[in-house]
Amino acid sequence: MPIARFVERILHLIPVLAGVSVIVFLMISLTPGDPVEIMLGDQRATPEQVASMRRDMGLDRPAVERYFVFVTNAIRGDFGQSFFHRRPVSAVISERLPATIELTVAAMLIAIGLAIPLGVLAAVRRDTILDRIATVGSLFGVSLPGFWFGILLILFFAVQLQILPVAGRLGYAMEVPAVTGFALVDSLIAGRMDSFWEVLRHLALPAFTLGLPSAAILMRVTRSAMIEVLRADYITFAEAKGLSRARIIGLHALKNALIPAVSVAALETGTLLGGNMVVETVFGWPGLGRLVVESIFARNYPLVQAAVLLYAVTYVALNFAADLLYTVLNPRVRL
Amino acid sequence: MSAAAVTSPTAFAWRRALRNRSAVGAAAVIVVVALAAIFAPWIAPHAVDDTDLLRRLQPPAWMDGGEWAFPLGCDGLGRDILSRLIFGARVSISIGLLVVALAVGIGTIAGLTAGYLRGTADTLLSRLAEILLAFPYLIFAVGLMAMTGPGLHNLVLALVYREWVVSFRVVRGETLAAREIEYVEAARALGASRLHIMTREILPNILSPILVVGTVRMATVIMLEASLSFLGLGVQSPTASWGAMVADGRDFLLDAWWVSTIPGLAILALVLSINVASQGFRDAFDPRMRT
Amino acid sequence: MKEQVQNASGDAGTPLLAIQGLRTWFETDRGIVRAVDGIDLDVRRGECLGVVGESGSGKSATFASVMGLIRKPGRIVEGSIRFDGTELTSLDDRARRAMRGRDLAMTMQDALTALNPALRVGTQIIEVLRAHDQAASRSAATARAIELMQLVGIPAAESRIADYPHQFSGGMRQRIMIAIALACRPRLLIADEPTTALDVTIQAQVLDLIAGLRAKLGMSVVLITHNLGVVAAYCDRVAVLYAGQVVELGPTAEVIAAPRHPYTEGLLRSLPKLEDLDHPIEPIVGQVPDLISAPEGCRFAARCPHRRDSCAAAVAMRHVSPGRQVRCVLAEGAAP
Repeated sequence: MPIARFVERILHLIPVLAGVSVIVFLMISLTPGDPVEIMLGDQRATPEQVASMRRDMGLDRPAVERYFVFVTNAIRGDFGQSFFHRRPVSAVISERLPATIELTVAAMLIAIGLAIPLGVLAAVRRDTILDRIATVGSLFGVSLPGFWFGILLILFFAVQLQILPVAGRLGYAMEVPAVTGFALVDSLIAGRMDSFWEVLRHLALPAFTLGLPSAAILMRVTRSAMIEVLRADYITFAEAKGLSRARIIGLHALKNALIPAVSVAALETGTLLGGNMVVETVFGWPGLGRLVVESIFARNYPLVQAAVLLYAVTYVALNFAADLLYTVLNPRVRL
Repeated sequence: MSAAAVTSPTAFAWRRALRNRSAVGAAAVIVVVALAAIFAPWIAPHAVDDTDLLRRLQPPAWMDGGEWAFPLGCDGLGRDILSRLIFGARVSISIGLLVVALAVGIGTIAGLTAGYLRGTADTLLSRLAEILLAFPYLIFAVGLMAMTGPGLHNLVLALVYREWVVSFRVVRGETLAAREIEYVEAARALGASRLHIMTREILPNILSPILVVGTVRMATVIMLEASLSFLGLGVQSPTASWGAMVADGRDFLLDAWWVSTIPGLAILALVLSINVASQGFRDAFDPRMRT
Repeated sequence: MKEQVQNASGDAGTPLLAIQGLRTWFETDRGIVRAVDGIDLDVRRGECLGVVGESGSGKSATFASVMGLIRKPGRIVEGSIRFDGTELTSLDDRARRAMRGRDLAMTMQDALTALNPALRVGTQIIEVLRAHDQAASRSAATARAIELMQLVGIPAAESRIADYPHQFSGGMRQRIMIAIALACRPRLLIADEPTTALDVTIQAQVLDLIAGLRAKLGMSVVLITHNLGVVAAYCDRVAVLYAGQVVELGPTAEVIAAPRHPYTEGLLRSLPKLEDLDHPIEPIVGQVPDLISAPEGCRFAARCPHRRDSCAAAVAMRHVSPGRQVRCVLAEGAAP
């Protein structure tokens, strides 16, 4: 991509992010009544405490000023104090973030690993029983409520067969010192293969539950892109050259079909961000999604605001990455 | 096919839709759920909030300890699951319809305005749409529900705020294309008013993509409602909602699997049916979007 | 350039490619489309055979059958295709694949769509060499690919080998496609409409390139085209196809000077004449018959100015003079 276009696209993100920050900022004004009083709830607080909390949250200043303070602080990574945890919001969030990233990446890997081979196979064997099964399967995949499917998986694999753990991230005996926060990486650093395996076992069901709807969508995209590509002249020409079927499908067709599939995969990673709230709740996964849900019930508004902003910014970044990937993969655009 | 020569395209499309057997089956499931929702107070064997701790976690009728008075068993408070399922259909269907109707209405007006008038209106609306699309859907809804608190009213608003963007983008695109069609240009040349062109010339011609979007989105909205209710941010007890019923049953997974799994099955059946039916509907009515 | 170049291998007496009674049909919702319906055609060693016809005449389907590229819903229903003594229709996939690109090669109408947009041109040349074991190593294959690009006249081949197809001009892309087809020195090149997608000025360059390489490599060329002017300039013999059948076959000069089939006559009359630009172009009236329900008798009868009752019965190819055959009841002449 020419530098000018790249810069133009980056600049285009600024108004979008500004708009996002305004919406997130305004969210708190939707609370029925005074947020500070709601946050304090039944707890007895002296008027001084209420006043100091008000000052902390900047509620004593005009809205426009408050917005600019909010944005400048947010850019610096400062989202105020988590009243509930008695620590900075950013510290609480960054502690939970690695678990969510780990789960999301695992889910995406499962989705890609399932969807691309299945999509290719369904396209190559179009209108066969295998194609039908894959198509029906993808319809189920997008229609399954994740929270319910997760429960079914728990009932079957953890309760009935007892081959996988019910919930959580790591058994107590398996704890390893947190270096990166990513349990898989940390257990490798600690040289604990038993812990590594244990994390994988804990990760299996939630990652599969989270990845399934994305796998379904990605499978459909791969299948239809592949069907389209297999009709192309260059496939006929590749056949006329006497190339093997494996090379024609695996290189000539797939390289072209992957262009739309990969950008959809990047977009779907963004969609997973929403899903992990539900999945983390079902599987007791100690990530950001569950933190948000907990914080809602604890009326921890600053944390919810910060998390929503973080999710939205990540989503924008992933969309941007999808855009970039599309251009990188497509030699015709790259020129 | 003998009568094909005299049938209208719409009748032809209906016939095409009816030939799709899985779409017809799916439509039947939707009709059953809708009827259950409408006539809930008359067909439900028990009241939604009829608790009796003696019946706590009573299994479905076909299992040991079950009885046909409570065919699908009872939940943790001894309430009849079938009755709650029937009343829960009201929440799913009414939220689905309400949100989609409002969102499609707003989206259509905004889309026609942006697509036909262009200029500042288009820039502002498109920017707003882009900003709203920057939020993952569920996160946006959760954020709003976190602030406004649970309840039917807030739930509908939280979903509509983000949902209208979907139909807005479709309608805007279709309007931009319809603008260039001869009869629209002819109407413009004849001096028809903007409002007339937008509502009488363009709107009738882009109705079928609007309907297609509406039906597809219904599945998404129902799923979101279920997810929010599962998280405890949707409809509140004692009103029955399928998502909340799944959440309630999680506490008894080991002793009473039916409390959680049966309502989930209902969500799957409804969402799957809407997806299958809307696909059949789209294939029949909008051949351009055929997969 | 119409000299016959003797191919080194094989028996000079027998044709390189012999198509007999070929029928390739496509099953559609509306019925069976008989795209190729009883074609007999030989390609001699070293010759350039022109194959002419409108779209839908079966010319592309015939040679797609030869290449083994007929896909569902199409299939070869009956007939024989012998290449240098080998029956192609009964070969298994593996053996066919081994011959495609090595013994018989093909170029397509538009190089822009025939070359893979996501792969470098070098990769696309090298892979055909590697598929047929024509290069011992990657580096040898690369060297040979550069050589091939130079052979077809691409300047600065060493540096352009890493470029993608869209970075070349239309004419250069066509040359790359020819380089790929010729990479393994095939004995038969099927060039399907090699000039249709090109500008007039580049058309001649590409055709001259094919003609030059034919002489150099001693291969046979089948030039599929709807342009009789191209045939006149480059082909030794010409076959005229109509509605899935050959209707006229003979040495190019004779056929063009004195067409014996009313369809060929019509085709020639529909060409603008350079020597007499005032002469009106006369298009052939009517349309190609529906190949699902083609008439039993002469398929051209409905459009033919010389139509008579006897046209309703099936017409066989008739030998009218040495090497010339016509499918018309009006054609009379010498025994073969």
